[in-house]
Amino acid sequence: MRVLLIEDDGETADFISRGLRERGDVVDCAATGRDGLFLASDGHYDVLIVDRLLPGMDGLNVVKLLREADVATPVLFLSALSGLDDRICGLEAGGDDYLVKPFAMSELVARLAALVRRGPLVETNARLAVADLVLDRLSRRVHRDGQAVDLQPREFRLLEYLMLHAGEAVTRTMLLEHVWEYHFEPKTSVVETHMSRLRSKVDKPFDRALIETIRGVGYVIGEPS
Amino acid sequence: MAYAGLFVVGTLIVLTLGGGITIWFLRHQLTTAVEDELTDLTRIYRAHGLNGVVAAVETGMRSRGEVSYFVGEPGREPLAGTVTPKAIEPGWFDFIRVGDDDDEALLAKSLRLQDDVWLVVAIDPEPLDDVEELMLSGIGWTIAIALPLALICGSMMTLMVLRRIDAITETTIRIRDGGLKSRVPTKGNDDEFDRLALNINAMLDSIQDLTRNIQQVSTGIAHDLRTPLSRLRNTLDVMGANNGNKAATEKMINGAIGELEVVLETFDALLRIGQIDAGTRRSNFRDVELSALVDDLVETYEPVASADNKTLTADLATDVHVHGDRPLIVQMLANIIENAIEHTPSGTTIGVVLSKHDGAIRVTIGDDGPGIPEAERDRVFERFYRLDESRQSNGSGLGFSIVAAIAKLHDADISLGDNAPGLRVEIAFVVK
Repeated sequence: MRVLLIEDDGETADFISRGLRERGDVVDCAATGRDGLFLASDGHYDVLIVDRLLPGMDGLNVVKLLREADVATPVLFLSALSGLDDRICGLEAGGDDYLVKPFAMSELVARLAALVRRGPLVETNARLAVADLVLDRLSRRVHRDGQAVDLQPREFRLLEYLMLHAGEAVTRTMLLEHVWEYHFEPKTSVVETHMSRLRSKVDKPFDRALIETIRGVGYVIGEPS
Repeated sequence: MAYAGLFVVGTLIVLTLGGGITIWFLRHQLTTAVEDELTDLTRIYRAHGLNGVVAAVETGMRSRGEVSYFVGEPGREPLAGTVTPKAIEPGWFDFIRVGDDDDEALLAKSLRLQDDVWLVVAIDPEPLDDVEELMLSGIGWTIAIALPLALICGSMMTLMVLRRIDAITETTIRIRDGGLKSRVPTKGNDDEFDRLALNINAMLDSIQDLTRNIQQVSTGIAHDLRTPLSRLRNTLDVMGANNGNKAATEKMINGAIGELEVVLETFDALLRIGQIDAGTRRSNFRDVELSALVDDLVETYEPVASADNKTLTADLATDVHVHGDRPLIVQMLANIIENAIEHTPSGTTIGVVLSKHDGAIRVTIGDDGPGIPEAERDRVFERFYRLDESRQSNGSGLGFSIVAAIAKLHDADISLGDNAPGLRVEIAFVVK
């Protein structure tokens, strides 16, 4: 995919662009908000990575101006500011996701993939299916291989999120933010525990496991395509 | 000293002014009496001639004791009257009786009746003199007694005030020179200076608390960062000398990342506490349905507890609402529940209770674990405080500080108690 990175810190920019290029992405870099705005206004990027604090023009303003100019390219904010307010400000300005520095490359990649692949079509799909696993978002029922799978509400939401991102790696932090709406780092293994419960219902009774653990990254359901 | 002078000058001004007004008033009364008599006698003269006046004066008809008369030619025996002047001047004049000296002049007014015959009405100005004397002696006494007295009292008061101000100055100098333990001495008589001193001391107490807190935090940061950073350094040293064993290198890199996570987590927690303490999040306060929020937390942590061989139970009142910041309340309660799960032995039961009584909303999280000794309970909220046995455990030692900061933001009271056995954490929200 084509990525525009608007980041003034040289080392961070190097780290990100090297990581993305290794995966085969095309990365353009801008060091100021003005340059970034100019490059992004074409709208031919798949995703924008915007640092919140930029010299000259603030990252928030860059995104606000882009949205005003009807550039709908998904935006991932990067920031050293971890406060909840900062996060909300970023999303209100028109950002689609918010990642706090420092972060692991795998976390960034997972979030970018989620942003690019997230089409409105998928979100409104009432019936999600991966292999022989079917999740009905309206009746809130889950079946695998024709058998009903009885899930707790939380387990249902966990599976729903995984299936919405089928084939994409989903990180622990993404799950905490979207399934639990927790914006802090729990000391206990909240995600792991619930994931293991979910697996014992969805995967264990069947021949093939659909949910896979990706070491150092998170989880994925279905075959990565 | 200047105040003593001012006091004396003030007294003198008041005395002179008062005396002057009294004298003017009395003089006005005396002259009016003389003028009235003169007018009356003139009227008698016009009606009955000189004989009429003489008769009027002689019969004592007009005599009232205080006023004296003279009718006749100057230098001669009077035709009528009780006093004889040495000389007569037209209009108002000082009436000196024959045989008297100047000192006892009467206040008099003359009127020429015919040829060389004069009518004089005189009055003794003694009351005037009395007042004048009184005033002068008043001024004298003031100068003689009040001035020295005022000076002595003034100096004493000034000295007293100065001594107490000096005491405050000395204290501030000692504090400036680094002795934050110094306090302004108080007398215990609750005067203005005592109140000032008490307030200064209270201010110093809170400054001392703050600096102690900062010191504690700095020491805490130093300790919490030193350990992972030195481990990281050691790891890098070993990696530098490594012979290229790929598996070992990978393990060390993972270890190093883990140490850095601890450092970053500590910083994150500190930043968050700072942000919460700043109070700016109050603008995000909304109605929060506490019942659903706590239920959600219990649902989340019940499997975590049971995976750790502990039981999490809940007894929640329904439809309880508070005004607050939802994500922060979630973090606060999650921290307490996680703390209970992490620091108790397996087999422990943890109970979460949400209750509402007479408008008081309480969330209680109690366990039947080992608890915390009473003496240590308050210290748990101090930044970087760890119970000795939990020193080894992970976490930044800031968990309860964040909890306390969030509770404070919500004006909620947080207390640790004995769950007999175990620890009970209670958060009481104030309902407005």
